[in-house]
Amino acid sequence: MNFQPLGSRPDPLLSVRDLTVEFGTKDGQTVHAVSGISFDVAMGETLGLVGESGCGKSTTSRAVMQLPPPTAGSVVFDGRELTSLSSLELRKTRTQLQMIFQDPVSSLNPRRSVEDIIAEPLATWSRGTPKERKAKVYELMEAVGLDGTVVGKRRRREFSGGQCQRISIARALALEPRMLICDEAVSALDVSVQAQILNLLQEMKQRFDLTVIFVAHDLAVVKRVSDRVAVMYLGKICEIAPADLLYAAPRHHYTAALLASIPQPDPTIRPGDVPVLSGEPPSPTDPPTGCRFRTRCPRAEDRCAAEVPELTEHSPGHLVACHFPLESSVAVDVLRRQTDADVLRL
Amino acid sequence: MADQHANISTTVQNDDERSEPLLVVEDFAVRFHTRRGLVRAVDGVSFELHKGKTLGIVGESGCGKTVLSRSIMGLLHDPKVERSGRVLFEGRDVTHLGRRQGRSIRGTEMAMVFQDPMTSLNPVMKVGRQLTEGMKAHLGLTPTQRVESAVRLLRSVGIPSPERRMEQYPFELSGGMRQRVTIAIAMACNPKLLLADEPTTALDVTIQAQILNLLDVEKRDRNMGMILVTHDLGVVAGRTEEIVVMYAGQIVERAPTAELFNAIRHPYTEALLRSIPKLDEPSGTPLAAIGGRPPALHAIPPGCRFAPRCPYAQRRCFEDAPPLTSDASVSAAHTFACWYPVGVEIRPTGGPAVEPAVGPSAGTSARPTVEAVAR
Repeated sequence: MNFQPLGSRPDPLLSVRDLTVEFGTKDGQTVHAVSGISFDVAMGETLGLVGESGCGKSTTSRAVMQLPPPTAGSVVFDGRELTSLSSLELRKTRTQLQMIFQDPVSSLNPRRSVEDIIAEPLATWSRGTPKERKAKVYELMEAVGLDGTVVGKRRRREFSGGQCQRISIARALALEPRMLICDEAVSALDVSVQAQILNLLQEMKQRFDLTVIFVAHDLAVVKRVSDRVAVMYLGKICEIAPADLLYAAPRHHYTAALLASIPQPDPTIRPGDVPVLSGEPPSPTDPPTGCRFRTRCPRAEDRCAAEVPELTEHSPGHLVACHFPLESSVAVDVLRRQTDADVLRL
Repeated sequence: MADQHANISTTVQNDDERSEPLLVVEDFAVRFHTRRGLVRAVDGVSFELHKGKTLGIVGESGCGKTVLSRSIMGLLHDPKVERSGRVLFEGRDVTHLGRRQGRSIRGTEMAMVFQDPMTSLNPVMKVGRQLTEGMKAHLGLTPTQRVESAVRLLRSVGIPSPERRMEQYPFELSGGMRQRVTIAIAMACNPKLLLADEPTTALDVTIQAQILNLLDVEKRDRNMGMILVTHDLGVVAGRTEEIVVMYAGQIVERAPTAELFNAIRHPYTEALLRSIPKLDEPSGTPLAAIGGRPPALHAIPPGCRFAPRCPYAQRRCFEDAPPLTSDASVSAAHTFACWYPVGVEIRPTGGPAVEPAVGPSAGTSARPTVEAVAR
């Protein structure tokens, strides 16, 4: 089984193979949160992970951090297999792998000053002298757009949600990580503040050479920041593609439905024109056989119940797990237009 | 172009004349006495709503949209809450109706759907009983009739096997199903006005589309007036006749939906629309973020409340508060509160309805640059 999966990246910083996370419930059932997914994240890349609640996107990002370690599968970060590291080794490696959470307020200690919060990772790992640490903290605050001399001694209650998220970002960057995992990092913020934080994350990525996994439910937000996007449904990846391609020409029926459901700020689009996905996702304790999306899929046939569709490469870099993928009409259109243009030029 | 605008405004006016509005809100204000001082959560808001129409109220957290909808519904009764102005429901003044007197209207003729169905439903009461409770109090049906009508309601909001659901508790339902139940409860007494406060914010996109469509169907079938309160311009774009944009407790812009998106006049509305990531823009495009954040409502600065964050702000904006005005030469139905509205330079030369900048320093251009932004 040691073949190179399709769509793997040339020099991956993170390589996830057959990742499976299962939880037991009180009544003896098993929640199949993530079921055998594989993906790579190349150095310097931003991978978006989207899906609705319960699809396993957060569980995936936490399993990468070994919070908690996955039930099965491998997570290789910078050449080291994280699932088999000793706890000390794991702690050391995790300094390179930082996370930003959804709720910026509850992820900060209410009793400590901003300065202390940002300095804590540095103090824990005894990086530099106290004086050097302080200088570093001020540098970080400046980087995320906070004036350290004004806000350094304040506590979290004196900040808005957007500012708290800036503090979380500064803390995550303190140890100069190579990879940043943002789990719904802007979902709790207002649109105008969300835009500020998204722009800040992009800026930090450039400035600190970060590789990013960006987990979110909002497809428009994910498109904005991601180089590639993976769409998840009920613990499986349905589709992975370069961001612009995925949005222009989705091949999986779920991706297409998800894109169509997003309300657009355009009054000429009447809600009735858009096909709405019926039903709700099935329970992850008892996922459907075969393709997990088949119970809501407009195209489902007998084969979809019998056979699990494998993630296969349909065009370079575009992987889809579907027996009857959508024709990429947009891609065809683009090609046709190009050909027409070529013909005209001739 | 000008003709088209004129047409829109006349149809709106005809509509106004045809029937008495269902809901009229006049110079309405809600203030809270707090330790930090007087918080002006809603400050001088006016609008009206007709039967069968949907009004969208849009704004970010803290703009007063929720306080506004809750106080229209009469849910903020507390000695520390001060109210002024008027709310007329079918011509009847309901501004100061207490809990007891309001009961014949609230929950029956006016109903509300909240953001979080888990907290708006009673966790220890079966769905069936929560549905029939209101009917028992208001409609005087027999117990059998109530159960029948509850089952019918659950089926109409798209809940499969409603008889079984009647016997379940809210925790046994998914988020989408719970929101369907709260909509069924709101519909139980056949309301004429439905206030939906962020009804889909807690739901996934595919479920959000289902619930918004359901609200649309209910509105059409019952010829209700609906107020859709949301932070998402996308939600209101295709589903409302009119939109009110709020900022720091006040209406900054109000217009028929198509007109608003065609010709945004207020810089805040423009900034709000620009800061939404859109699907048709290529990945990696930076967003036009609005710097800073809204003012604290207990210490509102003089002048325009958006001025400190506004890229077009001039000296006057920090001194005088702009009133809601319309540009009569374009459309009377489109009002905005701004001294230097967006899109002024493309206006036909009919003479400016909004007077140009004061003082020689402001220059001659009606659309100023960033020079005067003081921080």
